[in-house]
Amino acid sequence: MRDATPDFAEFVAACGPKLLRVAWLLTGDPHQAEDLLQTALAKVWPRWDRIAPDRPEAYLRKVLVNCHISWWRRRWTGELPHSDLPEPPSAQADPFEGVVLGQVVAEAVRALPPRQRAVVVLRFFEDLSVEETAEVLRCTTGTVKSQTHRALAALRGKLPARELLSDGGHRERG
Amino acid sequence: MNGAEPADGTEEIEEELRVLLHRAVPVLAEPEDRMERVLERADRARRRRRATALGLGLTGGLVAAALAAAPALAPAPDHGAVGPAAPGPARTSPSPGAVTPRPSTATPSVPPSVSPAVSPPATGEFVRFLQIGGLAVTVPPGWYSDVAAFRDGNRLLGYLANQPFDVTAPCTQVMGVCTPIGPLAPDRAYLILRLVDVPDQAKAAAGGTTGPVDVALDKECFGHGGNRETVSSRNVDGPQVTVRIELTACAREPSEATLRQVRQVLDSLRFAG
Repeated sequence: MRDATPDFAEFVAACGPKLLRVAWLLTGDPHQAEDLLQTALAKVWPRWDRIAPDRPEAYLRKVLVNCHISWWRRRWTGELPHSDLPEPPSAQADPFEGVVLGQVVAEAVRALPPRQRAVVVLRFFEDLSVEETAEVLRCTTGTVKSQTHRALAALRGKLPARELLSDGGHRERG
Repeated sequence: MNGAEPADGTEEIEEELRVLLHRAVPVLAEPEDRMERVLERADRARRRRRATALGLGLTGGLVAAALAAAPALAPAPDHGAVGPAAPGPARTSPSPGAVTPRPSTATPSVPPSVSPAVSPPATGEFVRFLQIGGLAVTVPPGWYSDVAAFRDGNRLLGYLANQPFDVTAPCTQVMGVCTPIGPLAPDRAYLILRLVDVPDQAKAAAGGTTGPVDVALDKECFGHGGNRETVSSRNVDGPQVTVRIELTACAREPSEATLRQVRQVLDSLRFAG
């Protein structure tokens, strides 16, 4: 038994919230996000002792993302991305701006194919490098770059205007 | 993105996307029982894998029925050749001090229900697990048995091993159950007996023994140094009902002789009257 490995329950308590946010970005739904996270944790738990002690979060992230991709493959015929996105928020002050913003971003990201969605979440929410993203998705760095390029092209025009970010343009690394 | 970026505003878009993603994620509720749910899922997956390996159709209802039937199957404490009346730790042992009666503090989260008898290394005699309906097992020569069952929710477990039990060993607490044994030495194994099912009586009459089949090493076995795990099951006739007993064997570099003994244990399962 490895003493250096953080206890699984402690790990879940510490990393659960962050990974739940990743799961939400992948699924766009809080219930599915929790389901996805628990599925990934249940897969990781039996192998906990064999996971590199310094990288449990990276391992779980990999399981989480690949779980989601396999879910998506199974549910392919049942999942239809919304064709009509909610109107982007206006520049006027809106008490529900955060909610609408979240909805707009979630819908835009959800409309992406699963691997592009995963690339966007890993690179721009988790701040992984191209190489790290390729490792998680078990693909080449070239694939990550091309998927990133396509995802950004697809998102262009679907996300709120740049000036909306001016008042809160600080980066909240999660 | 790599090397010289094209001057098409990609960096700006990437930066905007970062900000948007971080601002977009709502406050998400964190269920307090997440860990419990995760363990339940892992437990279900584990049982599914085993059921697949064994061709068993385990259902919670049947297990519950089996558990309800178990007390009725248990013989009186003073009935039978071996059991509470049998000498316990004072009996001779090929390895002095090898058998340790488990104190009640052995598994804090899973209070053990210990029968009065803890068998020493055996010479082919049988012992009974009173909490598993009085299930009798012939213990191979040189093996140890802990005539105890751990009641953990729906689980009733009995243990046999060909190395001494060790209540001070680190507890992996897999699925809330702590196997009271230390690291396995080469050619050592421990066996877990559980009542898993009350099969359809017609099928039970026709059904016999399944396995042993090799299964993927689980965390508990791995944690004890095991490198081979098998699961087998057998329908055992009780006075009123036939029950299915599952035997999980975790071994480290088992010899053919040890594997034969595991099979002998499985074949010896019975309800002694």
